[in-house]
Amino acid sequence: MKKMISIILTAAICLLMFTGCSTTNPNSASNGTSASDGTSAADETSEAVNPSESDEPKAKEAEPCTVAIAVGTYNSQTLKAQKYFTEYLSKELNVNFVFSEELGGDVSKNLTFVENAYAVGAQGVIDWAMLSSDDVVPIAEKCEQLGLYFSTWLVGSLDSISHLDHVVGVTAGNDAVIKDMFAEMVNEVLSDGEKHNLVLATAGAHNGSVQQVRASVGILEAYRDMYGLTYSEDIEKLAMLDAVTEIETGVDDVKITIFPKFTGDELSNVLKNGEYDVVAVAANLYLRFESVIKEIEEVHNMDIKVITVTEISDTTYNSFNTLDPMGNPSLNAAFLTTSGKVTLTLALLLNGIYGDIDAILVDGKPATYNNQSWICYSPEEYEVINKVDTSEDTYIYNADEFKQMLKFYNEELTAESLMNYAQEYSSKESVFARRGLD
Amino acid sequence: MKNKIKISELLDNRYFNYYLPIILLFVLTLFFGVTTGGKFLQLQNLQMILNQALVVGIVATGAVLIYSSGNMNIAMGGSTAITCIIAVNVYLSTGSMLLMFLTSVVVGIAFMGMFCVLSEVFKLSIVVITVLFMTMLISLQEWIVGGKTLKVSYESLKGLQQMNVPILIFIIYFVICFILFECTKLGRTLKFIGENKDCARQTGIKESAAVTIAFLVSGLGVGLGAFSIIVRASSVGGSTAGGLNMEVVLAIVLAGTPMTGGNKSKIFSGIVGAVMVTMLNNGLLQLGVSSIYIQAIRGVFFVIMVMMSGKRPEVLPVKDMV
Repeated sequence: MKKMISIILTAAICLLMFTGCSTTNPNSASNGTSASDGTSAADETSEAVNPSESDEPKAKEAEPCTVAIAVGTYNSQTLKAQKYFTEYLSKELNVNFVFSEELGGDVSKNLTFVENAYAVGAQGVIDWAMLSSDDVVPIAEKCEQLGLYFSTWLVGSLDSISHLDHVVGVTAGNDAVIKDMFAEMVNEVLSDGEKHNLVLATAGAHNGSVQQVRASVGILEAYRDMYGLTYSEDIEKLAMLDAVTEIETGVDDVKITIFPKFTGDELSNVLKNGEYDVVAVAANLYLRFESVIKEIEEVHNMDIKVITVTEISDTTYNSFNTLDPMGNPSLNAAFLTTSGKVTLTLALLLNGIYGDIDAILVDGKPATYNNQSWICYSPEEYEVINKVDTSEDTYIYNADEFKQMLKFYNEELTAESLMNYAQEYSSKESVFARRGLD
Repeated sequence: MKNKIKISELLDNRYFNYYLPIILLFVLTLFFGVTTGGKFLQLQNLQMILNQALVVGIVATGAVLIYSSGNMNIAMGGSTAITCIIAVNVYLSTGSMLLMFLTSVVVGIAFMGMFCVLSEVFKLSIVVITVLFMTMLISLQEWIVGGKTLKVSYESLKGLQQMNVPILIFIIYFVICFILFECTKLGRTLKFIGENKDCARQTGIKESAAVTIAFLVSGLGVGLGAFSIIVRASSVGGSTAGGLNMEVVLAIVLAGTPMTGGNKSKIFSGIVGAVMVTMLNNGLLQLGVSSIYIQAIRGVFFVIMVMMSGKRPEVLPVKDMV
């Protein structure tokens, strides 16, 4: 009897686990996790579909294909992208998507997923899980061995995998622009003429993460120029320090601490004396630090200005709209990575699958394609940004625009034209103008 | 009622019980073979399943010895990860693949030996020691590696991969464990301890000696598993072997070794369970089931198997167990 009750309860729990799963779109068979997004965006999407569009004859239709996507963590950004892929692009492009479970950064798990993707009949793999160029090598090699095309949002060097025939290219933020954008954020947020002490969370910069190094360098350079600081070492070396270090600035009343750690507890140790009133975060770690910063603000009744990388999500919306004890927004400036980056990985991969890889190679080698990141300073501006990617009318790339990145549909496509197109169409100004969000 | 009696008789049948996991494995293979139109049974796919299951299979095979005695080791994942880290560091310092292999083996055995020694010194249950070490080792892994990746050149490991070294390692290790568990007094002693610890003690069996040997043999498995991870992934990071603990327990229990140990323990549980879990993942994915549902299905399987294996014998150990 007891066993029977346990079995019934287990079955009930399992059934309850599935109650939140979306059933709005029968095409999204592989979309198991998007439902956990739990936002009202799902309803908006179904209402926004224009049925008349599907009646139009299509000039060209690609053969159905399957794309496997390895996901490290299901956060707001990946969930939005998953929804966009499975509920929108899937039917528009005749592509079936197979998403992995959360793979973390474990290479073995990623290899297993690639092998299973091959068994499922996938023609290509997109990697949204591995963050270092070293970790990507075995994954790319495995794809090569199985004849699967491969693209990733790798942030490091492409050299170690560029010799592989099935690597179609990688996407990343524009390194040079990233540095300038972070410098601009520092100048904007600290424009009051006062002196501010900084904790710079460099995240993975010490491991060579290019984006995080560029962001950290941008912030340190802006500080140097703003207060006439003289650092004792090369700025890039400082950005890549691997221990919590208060660096020499040459100016007594400007303190800078490099914080290459990832936990709120460790940040709390640095901030506890209330000496620092600026926290700049070079990676998407703000959520880990948010509560700690708030606690310090409350204890010392001070305003800590926050400049950070983050994603477009309701959580970021809340951060912009939550006031600290001094009545200022918790978040002062946000560097936002958009879904444009992950969409670009799909465009690269499909060019490979459709047999047009030559069009996107540069000098016969896979290239890095850059995507625009966005900056936001105010809750009002974020209110508009938060509408992006919530429905068919607000996707960064609608189906027709996406098809322009595929040689199959756009015969004029070259690597250069794709680079320019991606840069232009992923910019905030362009998206706002095209989606009527101004 | 009549049917019920027949099923319970069948479940109590010694041979049926022993070979049930293997029968289940064949049923699963057949099911996925038919439902995927034969795609599942393609040689390359079966090879991939075996390769994916190897690391868990190796570590779990050793762990069966521990579980059979009614003990648990939930620091297998952490031990394997730290072993990987140390072995890779040795390779990076010396450039010797042989030294990396030997280091893996020695460190793996040393870890398990250490658990036994600490258990004796502090008079704590070995299970408690492994619980303490589980979190310590994970922290240690994060502390040593941080966000970095320790990388062994993919090119230098390609040869080992092509020679199917992990498969050879598994075969040799499995034979060793099979002989120890099924053909020597050690296996029978461990099962006896798992079946009834007090009875075993009163029979004159030295529990700590048998359990220590079980831990040392499983330490060899940890070392070989660590080496196989390095060969397969060619890198070690903060999340290496992260889910290994759970996968090992899942594999052992799925393949019919009770969590309480004892007479029903089977040495092939480790590899059969690991293959079964991998098959479930692979087959369900081929049938178009989302990864998220696969995790849930795996969980349900696990719960059912734990329930099925939970029944304790109602008699004292019989003669052939000693």
